[in-house]
Amino acid sequence: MSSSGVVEIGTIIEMLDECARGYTLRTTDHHHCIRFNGREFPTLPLGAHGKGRRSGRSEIKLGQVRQMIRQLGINMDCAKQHIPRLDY
Amino acid sequence: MNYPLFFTYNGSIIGQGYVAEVSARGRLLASIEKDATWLYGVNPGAIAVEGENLEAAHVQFRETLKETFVDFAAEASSFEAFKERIEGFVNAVNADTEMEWQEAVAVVRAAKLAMMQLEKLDADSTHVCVTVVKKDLEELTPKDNFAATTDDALKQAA
Repeated sequence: MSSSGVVEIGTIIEMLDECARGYTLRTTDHHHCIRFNGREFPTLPLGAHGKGRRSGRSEIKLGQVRQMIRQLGINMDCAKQHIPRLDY
Repeated sequence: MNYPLFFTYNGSIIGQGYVAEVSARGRLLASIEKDATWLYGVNPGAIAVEGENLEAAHVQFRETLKETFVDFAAEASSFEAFKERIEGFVNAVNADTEMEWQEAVAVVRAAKLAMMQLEKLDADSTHVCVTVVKKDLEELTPKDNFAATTDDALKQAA
């Protein structure tokens, strides 16, 4: 497994619901922007299948998900319960 | 293998009724994996991109940075709000990635490693900076249509 593995946006949202209570997510012209804990991550890609947030099918690379978790100060152990491949 | 880098970005962004010249220098951690090269932001910490090699990752990084600045411009109600958003974004440090960046600096110094033929900058005395300046119409030239310049090459921290 490498940083280039992918995670569906639906799985990321499930993780945020559980591990980043109070977060906000909005979609801009180019990215998803997530805010949590007084910090923001405005560069989460829309994914290989476009915006896809409603269907949950848009795919985002593991390296980008891990960077977002670190930047927002989300508990990594909690995140790994939803996305075990973060252990790459 | 991880390499500590500095980047520079110089480009014009068109906002709501203004043109802004954005200049930034920040830190990136290059991670060479078997199938790709990743660039993780130290500051700005809220960015990570990949490419099939360092050059491709750098192109993707610049593209992502520009798209992010355009998103900021679309959401900002004024030039001042846009400026504040960019400054906050570039200066936001990713603490975990910064720790890895410092470790990588120690490794390349100890082993005298060089990444490709990148110019080197001193990791201790080179500082992160960002400026956002409103440009008057009279200052604009056709060169403002092109963001990338030779001054924006990646440099290795050492």
